[in-house]
Amino acid sequence: MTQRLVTLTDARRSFAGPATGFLGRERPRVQAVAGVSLAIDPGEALGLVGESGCGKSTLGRLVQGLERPDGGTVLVEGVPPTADRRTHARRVQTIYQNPLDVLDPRLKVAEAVAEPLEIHRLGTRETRAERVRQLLRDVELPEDLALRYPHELSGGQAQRVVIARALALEPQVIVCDEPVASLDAPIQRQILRLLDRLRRDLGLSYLFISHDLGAVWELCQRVAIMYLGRIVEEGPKEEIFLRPRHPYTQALLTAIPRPDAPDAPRAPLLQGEPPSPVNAPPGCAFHPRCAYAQEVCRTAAPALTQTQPLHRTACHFVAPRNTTRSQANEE
Amino acid sequence: MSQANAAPAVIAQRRWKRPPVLVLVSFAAIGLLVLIAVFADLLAPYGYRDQALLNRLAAPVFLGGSWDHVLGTDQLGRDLLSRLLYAIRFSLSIAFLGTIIGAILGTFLGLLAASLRGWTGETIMMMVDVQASLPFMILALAVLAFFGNNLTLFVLVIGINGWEVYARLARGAALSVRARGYAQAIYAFGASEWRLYLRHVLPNIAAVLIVQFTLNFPQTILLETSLSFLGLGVQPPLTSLGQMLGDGRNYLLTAWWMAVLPGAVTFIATLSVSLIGDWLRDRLDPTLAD
Repeated sequence: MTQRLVTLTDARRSFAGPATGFLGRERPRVQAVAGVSLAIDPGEALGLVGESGCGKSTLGRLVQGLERPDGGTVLVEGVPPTADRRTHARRVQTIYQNPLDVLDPRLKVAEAVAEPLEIHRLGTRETRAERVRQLLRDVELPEDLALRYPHELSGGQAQRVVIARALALEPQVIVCDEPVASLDAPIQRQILRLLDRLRRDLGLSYLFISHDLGAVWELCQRVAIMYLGRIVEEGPKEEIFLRPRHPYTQALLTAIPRPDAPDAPRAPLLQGEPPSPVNAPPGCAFHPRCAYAQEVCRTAAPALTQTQPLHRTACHFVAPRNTTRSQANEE
Repeated sequence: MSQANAAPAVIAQRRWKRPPVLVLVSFAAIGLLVLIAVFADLLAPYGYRDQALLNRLAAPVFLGGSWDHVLGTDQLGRDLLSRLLYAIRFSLSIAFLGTIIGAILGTFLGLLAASLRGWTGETIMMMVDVQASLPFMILALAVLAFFGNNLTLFVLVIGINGWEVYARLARGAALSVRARGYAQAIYAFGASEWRLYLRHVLPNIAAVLIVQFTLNFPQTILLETSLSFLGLGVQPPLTSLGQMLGDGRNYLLTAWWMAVLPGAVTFIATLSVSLIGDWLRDRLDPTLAD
């Protein structure tokens, strides 16, 4: 196997939760990322799917180097993201959910795209200008937009500017944090196509964070499903979408409307909200909402185990029983 | 139908809203004062220290005086018009310099406090609170009385007045910009704090600071005037609005125009800048803009 580009090994990140107890002295830790092992290969788009608050954005911030793991390791090309902010910026870049929010309202498009080049003092003024033109061509933006201000752009154009700016430092990995969630459906497809073309042309890797399964299907090769800080299922996208094994994945897929096949057999819909990570349920975190939960699910957390070649699932009733570990051993 | 036609006109009007008449008048007044300040030595018919002791307390033209001294003369026979023109020059320059010093010092310390949130930032904000709770007038009196008076010290003292407002404003605005997505994105590119604050934070908080500048400027004029009135500001034979006011106070019953003229100029200058400031605040506030 080739060198893996991004490796997370049992990565953990917790935050101080809301104050409770007498005089508010006790602040329980909230496990936003509770032991995640994942890897991304060069040129691969990995989709990270989960409900709001499941920790997928925190996972993205770990890879971006904006958070430091307080357990396990996060490595990009063998180096922790938090080691050196400047060199890390040249390996990993980010595109965001709301493009207009991440563009300085007082910088024109060309200035915004040139900003990373200036920060890293790459090239001369002339070569930078040429590079900016090239980048705007790469993201299929007309050249006359270069002198516009962000508020004069549409959402899709602004997202292209953000992508061009992210490409300026020629990163290997781009963390895409819900990059199409704020866009109209046709624009979403354009941006997804653009991202896919850029991945193939430039050999980029994506960590594509989304709750939009359609977007993940379109862009990604591999999918990881996250629930309350853990990966519950991970594998090639065909495996996950067509042969989901974890009840949570099945329920997520059920939530997609299927006008083409209204009578297709479906798993039961999820009830209620995911439990708060402040007091995550013991055992399998999914058991309060799981239709198949048994006694063992309330006491022991299932480990993520290989169920098919390349396909891993964390469920007692998919994985062989003897591979389960109690949560106590795991800590 | 008339409504359908009116709609685009309303939109256009909103975008190019003409300032209210009062603001236009204020701009004109300030423009005139600035011109006077710049060309005082060309406009003044006499030197501001030329005395004519035989022609003291002459009445202005509109009270039956002669055209030799359009606004009359003071207790030393100096031409009031010339003194008033020079007073405008001195008072405006001192107030402008003082406000600039306060704005730069305050903004710098405010940005510093925002970027160093540890004990350095705390110390700066504590200094802000101390400054805000001091009766500054008394402090200025003490400093000027103790160290003796010279123009540089006077300008510095005036500059220190008001810095704390800029510091508070700049810190608050900088922290809110710093929390915005674009500041974080730029930081994630590996930008230095210097670059972040100078290129991204400062331009985005400039509107607030400019408005504060226009609101602070009248206060500075008044402070200069008060200190000069009390005899601790601009010293004779130099002249300033406050000093003229102070001189005129002794002759209110016999030559009221000596006090009223500089008083009126002070009033017009402060009111104009205040009006412009209020208007600017409404214009630059994005929540009030259309």
